[in-house]
Amino acid sequence: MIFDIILLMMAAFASILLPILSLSSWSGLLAYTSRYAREVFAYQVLWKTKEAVLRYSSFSITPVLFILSGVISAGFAIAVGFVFLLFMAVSGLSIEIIGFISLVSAGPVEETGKLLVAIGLYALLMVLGKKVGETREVKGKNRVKDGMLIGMFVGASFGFIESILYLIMGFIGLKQNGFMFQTIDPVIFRIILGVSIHAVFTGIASAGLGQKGWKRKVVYTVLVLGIAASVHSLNNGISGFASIILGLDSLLSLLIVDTLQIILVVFDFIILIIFWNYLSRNSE
Amino acid sequence: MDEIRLARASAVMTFIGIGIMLTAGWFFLVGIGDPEFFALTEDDLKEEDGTNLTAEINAYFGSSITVVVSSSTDDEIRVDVSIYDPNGNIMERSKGETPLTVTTYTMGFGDYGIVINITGDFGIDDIDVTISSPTVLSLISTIIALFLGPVSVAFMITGMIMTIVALNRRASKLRREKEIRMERSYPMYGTSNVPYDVRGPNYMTGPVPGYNQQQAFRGNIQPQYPPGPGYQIHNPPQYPAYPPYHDRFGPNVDRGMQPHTLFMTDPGPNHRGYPPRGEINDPGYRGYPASPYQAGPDHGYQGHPPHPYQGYPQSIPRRQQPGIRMEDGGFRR
Repeated sequence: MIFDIILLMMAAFASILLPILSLSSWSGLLAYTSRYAREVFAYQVLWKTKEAVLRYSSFSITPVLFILSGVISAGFAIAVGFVFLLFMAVSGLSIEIIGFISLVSAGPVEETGKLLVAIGLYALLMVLGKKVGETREVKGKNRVKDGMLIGMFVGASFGFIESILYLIMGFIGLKQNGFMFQTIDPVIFRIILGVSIHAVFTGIASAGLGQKGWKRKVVYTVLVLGIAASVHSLNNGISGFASIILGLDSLLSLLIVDTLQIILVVFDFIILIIFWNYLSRNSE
Repeated sequence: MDEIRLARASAVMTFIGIGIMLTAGWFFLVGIGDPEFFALTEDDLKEEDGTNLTAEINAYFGSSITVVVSSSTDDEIRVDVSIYDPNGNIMERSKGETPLTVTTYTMGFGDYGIVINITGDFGIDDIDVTISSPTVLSLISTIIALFLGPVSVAFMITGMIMTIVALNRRASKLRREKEIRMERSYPMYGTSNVPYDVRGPNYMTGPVPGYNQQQAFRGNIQPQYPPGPGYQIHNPPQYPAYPPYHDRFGPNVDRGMQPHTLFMTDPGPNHRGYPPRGEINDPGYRGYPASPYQAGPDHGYQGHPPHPYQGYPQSIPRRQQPGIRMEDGGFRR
């Protein structure tokens, strides 16, 4: 009994701590790979200002914005996904097909939700940049990269919230079904890729925000949103398809599915780097 | 509290709020995880005669007991579920086909009995039973989480309000500093009872030669005079400024007041009042552009008004900007 209680408390603690670790590792990776990301983000959230009021205020506002953007985008995705599932349920399709379609449709739904929040934050930054710009440079030099940074911020927040939910489900499965590969796999997957995978997708989806001119902005945003939703769906679809085919009941099949996932995430990260370097040339 | 301390306190409040929120989340997870962790297992169910299952579960006041009976085959099995209180009285009874869920709310402490009867040609191997009841740990955790959740939100909202107030104070301070900068650049800025265009937009905005404003501001009212030979165009006032005003308004006020020094001079018989600004071709003009004072040819004016200053002008408009007064804290260096 006591052992069960301790296990439960540790599981609850891990459900919160592991997403924080995942977030830290993603932030570290981003800061290590890009100097622009490291410095301009600190300017954007005003942590690098000499004015104490702005600095402390941003320390107060940023965490709340982080949690809020994740909750709003996840709420949007859950609500739209629920309505979508209702329509699917009355369509008379089989459970497997509905499951697969809902897995694939998560791409467009989640990316749209995250992008909407990112657009709001980007607009807020531009307004703040005008307001505070007299005394402090808050905007970076490249609007496209700024937009992608904001997208990654929102995506990381979404991944953080989602990871907590998935970890709770994972630990419950672990308790009910015991220590099996199927139950430990989502836990490990969420620790490694939970935050970064969504940050990468939304980073891609928000590459159109800082383009020059409204026309380019709209066209590029629709284009890169389509690309982000496609790679998201491709990711989900391939891993879901592989799980259905391989069955997920042996270590080998799990390893194959996980390796596929990691390869796909690396592929997505390469797309993000390409956008970061090439689309940012047309910054306003 | 000044805005820096306010902003710092707001950051502390927000971080405390987030810490409490994470703690509340932990308690909440423990609370909702508990029934899953402490549901009865197959071993706790006692088989009586092949069609009867009995179980006992320890529950506390105000909790609930949920019994879920489902079929392990594709058949719909008819079952009869009864829940007894610790005294043996029946609390809840439900008959139906699987899947069947029966929930009852407990009214006391002790072991509650559960009896599941299977009717028809089925046995207990054909059904799956789940019996769960939140434990005391679950109840306490959930209550703590429900208490801490609003507390954390309150902390964060308070932090946000403090941040907004701090930023607002900073903005108003910046606005006030901008007003003062404007005041320094345009001496007439903000004074409403003196028409701006009478004096002209540019008059005397530059430093007054031979006049040390810093000294005057510190109370040394002796001007650095004389300015030197040939100096006619601009004759600084013999007094550095009006002492009572000077103390209040700082070094810039004398520039704004300067035209009134000319009011004190005798304009002479041909004085024509206030000529249109910029009539520099007037015969009596001695080089003071855009001056309200226009000396005529007959009055003997030689380029600078008589001095020393003999009186105190009554026509000086009082400054109407409360923000620049010393006592309001608006002007400090």
